[in-house]
Amino acid sequence: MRVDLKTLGTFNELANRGASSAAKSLSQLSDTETTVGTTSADLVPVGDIADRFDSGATFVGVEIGFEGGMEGSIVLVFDRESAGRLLERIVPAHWDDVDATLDRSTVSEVSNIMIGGFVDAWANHFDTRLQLGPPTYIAGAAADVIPGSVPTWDERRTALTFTSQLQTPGPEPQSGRGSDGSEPAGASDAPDADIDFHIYMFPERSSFAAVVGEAVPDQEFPISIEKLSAFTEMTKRGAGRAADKLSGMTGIQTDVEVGRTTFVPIEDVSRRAATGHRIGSVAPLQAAPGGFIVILFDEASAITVGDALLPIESDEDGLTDQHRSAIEEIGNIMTSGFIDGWANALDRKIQHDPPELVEDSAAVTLASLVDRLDASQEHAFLLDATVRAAGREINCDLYAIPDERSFQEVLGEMTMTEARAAASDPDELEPAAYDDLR
Amino acid sequence: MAENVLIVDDSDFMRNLLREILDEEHQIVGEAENGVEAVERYKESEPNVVMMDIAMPIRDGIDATAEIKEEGPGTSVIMCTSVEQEEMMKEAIKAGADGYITKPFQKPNVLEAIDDAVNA
Repeated sequence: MRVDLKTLGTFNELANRGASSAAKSLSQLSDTETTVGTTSADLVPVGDIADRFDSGATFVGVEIGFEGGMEGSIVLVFDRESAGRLLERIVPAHWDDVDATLDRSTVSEVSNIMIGGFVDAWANHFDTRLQLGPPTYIAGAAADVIPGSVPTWDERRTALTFTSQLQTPGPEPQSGRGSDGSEPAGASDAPDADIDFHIYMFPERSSFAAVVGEAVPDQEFPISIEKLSAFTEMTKRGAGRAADKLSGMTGIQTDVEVGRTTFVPIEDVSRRAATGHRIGSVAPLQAAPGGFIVILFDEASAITVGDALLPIESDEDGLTDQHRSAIEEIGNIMTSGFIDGWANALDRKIQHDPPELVEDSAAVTLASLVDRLDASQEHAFLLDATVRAAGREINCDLYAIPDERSFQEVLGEMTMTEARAAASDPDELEPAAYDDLR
Repeated sequence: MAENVLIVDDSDFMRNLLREILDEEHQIVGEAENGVEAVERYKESEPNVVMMDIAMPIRDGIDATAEIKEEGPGTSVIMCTSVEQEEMMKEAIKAGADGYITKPFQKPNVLEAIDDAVNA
């Protein structure tokens, strides 16, 4: 299946419109304002989807199949505490004696109504009819609530997902007391936290292609979804190579947890970043796919990595200039690890400028890079992965933000044979031995 | 046998690391932060081994290697880089590099690369 950038942008817009419609439904049900946080179109291996929102919490929600002009399934999940806060708002009179059955049926019904709003936006845009099946209640850890049977797009079980995160803010603190000096009803126990939830739409490939193909017959710059999927696999492997470099430098065993390609409106790029202060490096790419490679550590990780690299123990507490110097160099080495696989698989050279050390929130760092992209770019591909060390304090996020047009050209020049080989054979990403090349 | 080594890398951290690795076995005759400085230091100190990074500001290591090999064909230049791209390796070969080791490296790899390059 091939789509163009405009179509990918339309998908985002539709997911956003659908999410806004779901948010409106929830606002009416709970009498609180619900807003759409982020929306994105993602290509992600099914096995990695749960990692995206796995906070260690238990989740509840529903899975609903849809059919008609297009087939697939939709999953809507709340973390258990958010669901509790939601139920407290919707059924306050019953909250004190809420039982498992009410909990289950209310969550299912609320989710069902919200998903109805989400799906309508898609049906209306493509001028087709989408009929929802009965909701199936789902509960458990993040990995348990993403069904194993969602439609996948290739042999690597990559799913095209449309994801929205919505938020309902906690109620305003109630001022004043009753005439008897008591607190307003429910105020003492009132939840004061947001209600966060996620909607995932998993369209089935052939029916989706048929609907989209009919809607956008002229594709000036088509992008093969298969090649994009292959590039996602290459990104994950590239992150694995970067993690190996980190392990080689520090002696700390690390692994890649997530690898995905996300297509987001340019203004949403910074909202995809992890929260909190980060130290790391930014390396501008000199050749296609252009843009930037970003390697970010949280401060504790930067100190752990720096300590492992520095030959002498520092007398100073916290992050020192020596740590920064070490992080700058590990950023350089990991950047190469990340992109060299792309270069080898594509038989081209991808050089990068010496990395710049960055210290700020990840959101500010990514926002500053967006400002350096071509001003005409309305959306961005964000390729990202997370590196973790079991039992050690290392959290490292890797991002590639390629130049949209350059990236499109790279995908266009990549043959399907190369794409398949790169996605299935790790050796494709490795160079020949230097002595063999001589 | 102790060789006279010039270290070229834009990273302070990496120059220190290489100095630590080489200090006991070889003689460090100079350091440079980019390709332009590398050629200048090479002419000043006349090392017989150059440990050369590739990606550096002002002038990259491939360019500098080509000039150094033209100036002194007997000098062994070993690329010490984080880049593992086949196209880049081919450029290094074309420039005349005698060895290619990738970061992160361990002391034995570095010493072995010098031995191999000098004795080739």
